Amino acid sequence: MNKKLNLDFIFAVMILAIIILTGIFAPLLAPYNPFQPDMFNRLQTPNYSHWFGTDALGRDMFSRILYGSRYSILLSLVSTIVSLVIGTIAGVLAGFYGKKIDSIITLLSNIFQSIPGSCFMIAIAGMFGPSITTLVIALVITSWAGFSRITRAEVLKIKGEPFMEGLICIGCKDKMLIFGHILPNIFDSIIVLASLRMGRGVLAIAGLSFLGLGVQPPIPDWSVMVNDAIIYYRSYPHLLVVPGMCIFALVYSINTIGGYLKNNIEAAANEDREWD
Amino acid sequence: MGLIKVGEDFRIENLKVAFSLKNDKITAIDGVDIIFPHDKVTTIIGESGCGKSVLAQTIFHLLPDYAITSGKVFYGNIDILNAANCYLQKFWGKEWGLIPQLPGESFSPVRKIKKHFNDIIKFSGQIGLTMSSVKDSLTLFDLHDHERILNAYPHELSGGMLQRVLCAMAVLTSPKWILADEPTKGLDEDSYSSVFDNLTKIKKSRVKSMVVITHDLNLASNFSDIIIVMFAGQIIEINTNSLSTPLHPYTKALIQALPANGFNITNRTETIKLEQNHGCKFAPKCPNCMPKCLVENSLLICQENANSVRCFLYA
Amino acid sequence: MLEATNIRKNYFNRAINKTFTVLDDCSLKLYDNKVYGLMGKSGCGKSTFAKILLGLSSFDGGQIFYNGKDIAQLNAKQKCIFREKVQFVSQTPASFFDPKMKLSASMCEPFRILELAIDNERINKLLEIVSLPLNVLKRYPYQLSGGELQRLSICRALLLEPETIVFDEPTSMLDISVQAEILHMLKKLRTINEITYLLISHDRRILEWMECEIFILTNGRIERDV
Repeated sequence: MNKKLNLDFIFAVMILAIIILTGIFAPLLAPYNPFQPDMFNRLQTPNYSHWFGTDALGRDMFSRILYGSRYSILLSLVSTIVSLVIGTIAGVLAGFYGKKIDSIITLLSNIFQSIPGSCFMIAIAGMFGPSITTLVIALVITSWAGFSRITRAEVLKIKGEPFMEGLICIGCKDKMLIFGHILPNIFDSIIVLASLRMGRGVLAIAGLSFLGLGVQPPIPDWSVMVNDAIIYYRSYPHLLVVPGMCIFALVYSINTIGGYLKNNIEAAANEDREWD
Repeated sequence: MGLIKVGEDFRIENLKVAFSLKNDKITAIDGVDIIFPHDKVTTIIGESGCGKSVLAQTIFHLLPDYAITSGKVFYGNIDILNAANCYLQKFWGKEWGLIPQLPGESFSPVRKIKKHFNDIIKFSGQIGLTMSSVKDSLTLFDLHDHERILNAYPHELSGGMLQRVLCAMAVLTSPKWILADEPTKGLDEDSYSSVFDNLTKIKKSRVKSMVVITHDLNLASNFSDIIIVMFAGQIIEINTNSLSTPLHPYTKALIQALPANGFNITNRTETIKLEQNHGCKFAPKCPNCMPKCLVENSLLICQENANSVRCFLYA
Repeated sequence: MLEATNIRKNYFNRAINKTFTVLDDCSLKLYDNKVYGLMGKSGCGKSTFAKILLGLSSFDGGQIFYNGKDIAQLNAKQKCIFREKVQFVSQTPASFFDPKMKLSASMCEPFRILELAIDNERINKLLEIVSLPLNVLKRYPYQLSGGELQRLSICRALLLEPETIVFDEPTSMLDISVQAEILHMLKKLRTINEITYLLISHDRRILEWMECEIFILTNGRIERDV
């Protein structure tokens, strides 16, 4: 079973690496300008000069895909990191100090978690107008509570360990306990959580952008491309299939990597047992 | 291949067991040759890291997948190390019973005790096993309040009671062999005498062949027919007279360190750093260490009364 | 001098909605440079009392005095001194150090907390006293045995030259031979430094061998052993 997992992981890492690298080197790799319309060559199926064909405005799909990976990854990364930071701060404060602070933060996270995510995101996008900033804000507001809940549980677990008592006994202050000991010990779990959540983030962004509430055209984000393809996909399925497959590939690779990290961190923790 | 009617001996030949962890290969058992005779109680004693649990796990085929083994382990004619799991499943719970360590952690916390027994009845393949056999088994270990115990969840019973339930579970199918793994671990001292009682009851009932792993010298000396002392993955002494005359310097030191004997420690020689110790593993700490001991490891030398000791003092 | 007066600790069992009194009017006075033993059955509250004495646990009645001052009333500087001079060694050496930190970092922690220069000479000297080689500092906790970790715990407790060390069942998780070595070491330490020991154990023989003034915790009260 371990061998199979390794192949999946290597495959996933390769896919993610390709997506990231093509995003970074898009200006060098893209044969055409992704924003440049060319009405004479619109709606072409994949051929020699346009490997993924062209869209309704004649823009080269391949170039748009290359540039599009930047937005997909960047947006999900930024929103996940911001949620992570807010959620971790909340979770650590709640878990470490307990009592009133814990009650308040738990109440807040319960409130935010009970709001249905998609509806809330649509509402925020609707209130503030669709844009990338709104997208990120919407994602952060609906996902920080999940991070804080899990972080709080991890902090409580570490706080109960005997070495924490030992540290208090030698006079360790709160700040040192949190930054020097609690955070390093919950770091593994947070990374795994973040990688698993990133996949969800990509899908959420795709969903909102598809609804027209996130990234706006002419930005070549993959979900915008899916949105654009709605009218044409019956006759020109490549307009839908290509960006759809890219979104799938990104989410698959992130989730597989996250799952592998999770399994391996648990396995590594179990290996440290003493053998009698 | 039908089930063996009478309990067989376990025969171990040049067994080596290692575990590959991270970048390290840790040797748990470093060359063991021994026979565990049936109808006898054999106790393996030793301190942390000596390999006693690993030895017992090996002979009952309970090692994890990443264990590397070499040598042979025979149960009668069956080669344990090379037998398929599905074949050996006929033995677990039927021929071989297990009383695991830490009774508090050996039960599924979300199932009642009754369900645990039901599992045994279901998978034993023995026709006569019913709830009344279960109740008889519980009574054997002084658990008379059957209804309360069977309907309880594990966390509702004390550690001592859980251990008695484990003993009842182990003897239910009248196995030929029982492995008791650190029976005094996880229990407070008031329960130690009841552990001894439990094991004695098992010995007097249908099960005659036992392997007991413990670091409790009192339990070992009062209860066993054969005591095997392990140190650093090797057997260093086999004693058949309840440790009344310990042979190996390590065994002597261990007995001297007991609270009852005043916590005596040996005056050891200077700590010798031996990265690759080809000699006796105990040599750096041995008060009788000779230069020979650091380079050569003695074989098990037979003494009278079927005792053996791995020490050049007796050569 | 560390003193506990009329300590009371209640425990609320949510499952059956009842309050139990674990400690009921416990008093103990620890004078300088003496050896005390606290005995009692498992679950009687010895560890709870030790943690209250060290200011690690809350309690419902009574006071703890350090050199005459109530520890709840200490200002930051006095609290710092209290933490320096009163140390703790637990019964679980395996989990007494941060598993993510190298032992060298864990050992230097007391200096960092007090913002003092790291005194490597003192660390080396103490390692010698507890019979540990210098290279243990390069390892992580999981790479050492229980006995080695317990010696290191004692070493860290000694770093700041404490006046009092509270040992909570220091040898219960250790092998017999290791237990004997640790007890001998504790005896030897007192010949080098003037430290008050409070040894908590369920085993009378350990306390008698260490020549403790023995107290017994039964039914929530501490009584002198006769």
